[in-house]
Amino acid sequence: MDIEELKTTASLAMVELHDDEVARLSDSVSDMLNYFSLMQKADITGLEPTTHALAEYSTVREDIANSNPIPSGNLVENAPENDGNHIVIPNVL
Amino acid sequence: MAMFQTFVGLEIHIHLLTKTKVFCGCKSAYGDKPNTNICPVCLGYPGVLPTVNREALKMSYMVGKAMNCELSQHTLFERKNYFYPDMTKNYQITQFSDPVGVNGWYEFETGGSRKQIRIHDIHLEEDAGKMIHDGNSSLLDDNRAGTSLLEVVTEPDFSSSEEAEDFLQSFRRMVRHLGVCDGNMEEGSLRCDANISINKKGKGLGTKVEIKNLNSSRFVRKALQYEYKRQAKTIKTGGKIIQETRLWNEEKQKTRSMRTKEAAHDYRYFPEPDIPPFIPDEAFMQNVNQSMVELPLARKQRMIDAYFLTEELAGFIVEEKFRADFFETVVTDDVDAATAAKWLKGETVKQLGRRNMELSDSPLLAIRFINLMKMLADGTIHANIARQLLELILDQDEDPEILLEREGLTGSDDNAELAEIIDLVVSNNPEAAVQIQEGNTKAVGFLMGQVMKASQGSADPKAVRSLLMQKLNAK
Amino acid sequence: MNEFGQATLFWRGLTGSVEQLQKYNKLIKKYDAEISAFLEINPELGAEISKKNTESYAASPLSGLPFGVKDNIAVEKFPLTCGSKILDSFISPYNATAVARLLSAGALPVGKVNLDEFGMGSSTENSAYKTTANPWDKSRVPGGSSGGSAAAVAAGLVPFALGSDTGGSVRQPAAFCGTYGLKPTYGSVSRYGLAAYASSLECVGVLADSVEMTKNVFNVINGKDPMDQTSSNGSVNFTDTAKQPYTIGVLSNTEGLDPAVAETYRETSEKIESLGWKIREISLNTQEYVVPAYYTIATAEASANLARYTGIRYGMREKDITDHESMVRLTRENGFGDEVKLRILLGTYVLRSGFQDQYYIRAQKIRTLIRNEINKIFTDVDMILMPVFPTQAFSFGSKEMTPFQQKLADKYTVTANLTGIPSLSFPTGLKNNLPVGMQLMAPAFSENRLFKAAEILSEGKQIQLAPGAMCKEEGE
Repeated sequence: MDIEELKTTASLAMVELHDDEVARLSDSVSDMLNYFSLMQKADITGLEPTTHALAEYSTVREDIANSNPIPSGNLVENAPENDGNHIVIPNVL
Repeated sequence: MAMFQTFVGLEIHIHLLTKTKVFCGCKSAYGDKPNTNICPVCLGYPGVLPTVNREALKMSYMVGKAMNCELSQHTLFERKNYFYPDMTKNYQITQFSDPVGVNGWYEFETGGSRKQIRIHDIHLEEDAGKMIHDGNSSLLDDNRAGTSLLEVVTEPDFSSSEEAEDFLQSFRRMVRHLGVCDGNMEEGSLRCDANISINKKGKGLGTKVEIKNLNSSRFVRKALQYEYKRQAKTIKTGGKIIQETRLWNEEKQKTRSMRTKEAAHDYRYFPEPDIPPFIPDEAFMQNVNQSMVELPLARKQRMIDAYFLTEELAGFIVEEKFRADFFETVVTDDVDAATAAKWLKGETVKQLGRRNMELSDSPLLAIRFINLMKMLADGTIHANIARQLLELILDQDEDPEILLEREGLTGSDDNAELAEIIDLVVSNNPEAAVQIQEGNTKAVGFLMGQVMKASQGSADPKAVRSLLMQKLNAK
Repeated sequence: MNEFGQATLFWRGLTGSVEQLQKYNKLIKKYDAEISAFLEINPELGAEISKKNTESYAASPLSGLPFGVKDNIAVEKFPLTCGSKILDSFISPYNATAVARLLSAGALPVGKVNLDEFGMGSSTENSAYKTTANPWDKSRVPGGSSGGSAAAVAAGLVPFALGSDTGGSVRQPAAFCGTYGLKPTYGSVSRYGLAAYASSLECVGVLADSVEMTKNVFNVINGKDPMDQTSSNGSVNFTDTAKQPYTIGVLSNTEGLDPAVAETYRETSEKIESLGWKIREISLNTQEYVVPAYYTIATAEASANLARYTGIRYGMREKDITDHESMVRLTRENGFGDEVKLRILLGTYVLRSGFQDQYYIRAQKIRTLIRNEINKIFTDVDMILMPVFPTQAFSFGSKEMTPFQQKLADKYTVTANLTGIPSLSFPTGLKNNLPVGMQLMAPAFSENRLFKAAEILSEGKQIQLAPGAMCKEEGE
């Protein structure tokens, strides 16, 4: 994979690559993609993709509120920066 | 006048009135304290899994049915991948290749006739959380994250901004009738984005511009009107329309380019592995069908056909499902339809409004309204008494028959008492009496007013006039 | 009293009282210092949580038994690092369903065990925190990604541990360390509480010191869970129609296996025949596609599953950054290890518009091809015997087993994940003083068939523990 493609992909994945990493990862990624190209040989005519292996169909949840919720304050406190009521991040605008 | 043809499409998001969120059991509610309706699932903690809400699916299928869609026998959820702080997992669970409904149509009233537009699809998805911007920070409130959203996408079949506005109002009425959404655009339970392109007649679709930040159906119309003018001017002066997203600015009354990295979001949709495909079985579809109601447009027509209501009255009656149900309960019990409708539209709306009440949570129970109408019809009371009783019902939460007794309102029909009042008024206003005898009808009104005042409005105007004229030996 | 009764007594003797727990705490720390299987040791906390949740303490065969939990599976109040810096100092507020069910049966989680970061790897070398050694030879890896789980059991620190198997991550370390390793049928054990790597491929699995222990644990943790809509009661409701003598499928082509492994494979086949079971040679025409299809699908799902790790709502966050996007990028850059970054990049790529067809969608169709082939094979055989890995436990920093080579070597394990079928890795003894494991695969939901077969093959015995194993040294 060329460097530009890798950078675009890294940008989509929100991972900031350092320059020394880019070359190294680019090799590893290329190795894997070359290996993936083996799949082109397979005859897949008429086959549907398997999106859910063995999953039971149509399982649904009733519209009833959680009877024993985890205290929401505990969850907010897990945020590295919070004001007790909100999760705080650098201004987005 | 328009040298261009307009193509408008709408993308509407409605918050479904489910008790819990679409993929977890947190309460779904507007206006609660920040971050109080949250759990590891909707917060996207490590190890959690989504669980789809049956009621959300049911409501989605109901809307699909109401919009004449081909309903999916095998509906699939997908991940739409993009990073944003209000997206707790940085992917949204939505639908893409196999949504709840496709290829539908919807008929609504616009410009004095009916129009049909095509529905591209309706699909179920989760909403993001809220962000407030405050100085150097942004504050995240995830109460809304994971709540049920139904998205309705139309084809670009609207040919004017007015049509778009009329559609939205009709759509809002429809989802409120179905009980799936409260249609409150200010609170964001109904949101609308519009897209518009224009082109020389017969040349097909033009370059599409998307418009966001439309918080009412009125804004939708105004924004589209503005956009039409802006695009027409651009083309006429030799410019090209850029495909972009613009925001409506209500203050400045214009649209403005968003100028963000909206360009080329590669969402990398793929089927959601954590939720197996949903195959609606017979029991589910029966449940959907049983929950359907007569839709407003059809019901309006029936009001006109069955009860001979005018267009205007019929439209008023079906504005809210509760009102229509109330009306039909009333007329079923042998009350004259036109009378009932007029009373609902006139006096009832006025008095409810003054007290900030809704018909659905007021003391004006159907049975009370029925009895009021019946008393009016058989002459037990006349219009002014009826008005007074209506107010008393609302203020005292009591039956009209009881109020009639208790407040002693029957007295005003007693002609003897009335005759006394008239005598008194005439003797106090000798000039007016003379004028009437000389044929001046204006003074009649004045004296009548005095009589009504003296009787505290409870006198029957017809009786007053007739007695007054008798007394004055005038015509 | 038999071997199992004695073992149960021994374990219960370590967890019955506060004093015993404190002693156990010290013991684990002492013995674990040799191999570093654990990232977190806290038997007292485990007992506290267990007491809160136990329904029928005395009755269950698991009651009073300590167990380890792979650190990508949630245990309330314990850390959940997933072997990654990005979840440094994150404490789980809830229990995974599999853990909760074990708590209800009276078992105690005594600590979190090491893993390859987010389950990505075959050696546990990809952990951001520690390097776990194979108790049989400390210069060698315990396998991965559930290396800590396998090492803890093999070193006699716990009788069983929970792991996760996405492409072989329970079976391969079990084979490397000489324990039992069950990858259940997809959906038979709830994934709620397992930090997702590849959602349509992975299972919570069991590593244990005997078939009986594996079975007992599986019976407690399996079954439909309302918190996981892909879970099912298939294993609960399964009635086995296969009867002995079983017909076992055996690969006709075993190219690329190390001599010790190849020899073991042959010996195991012979042992099976000596039991009076039938051997049928099978060939897997889809074999060359299983690994590329696996990695295409796994990395695609991983790229989405790991998108939530940004430092915004929990875990590690890069501080003093004024732009929110840079904060997220840098947190992920510094929080994720190389292997994780590689898989996220690959996964993002194979889903990209313009590439999805030739990679992701093609891989999902190949998956159907593989499923069809396996289903057909099971109409002829009751189970399939396969090697687990081409080699025995390799050395740290092995030049022959580069990360890329390790991926290619997944060829025997990924099939069970792609098709969802259950597979049990079982020890066969030592070669070169190192364990060799083999695996039996069976049709979906037929774990009981696997247990029956393995019970017979093992002659009802427990595993051979590594030299210096704690429960051997400290037991009678």
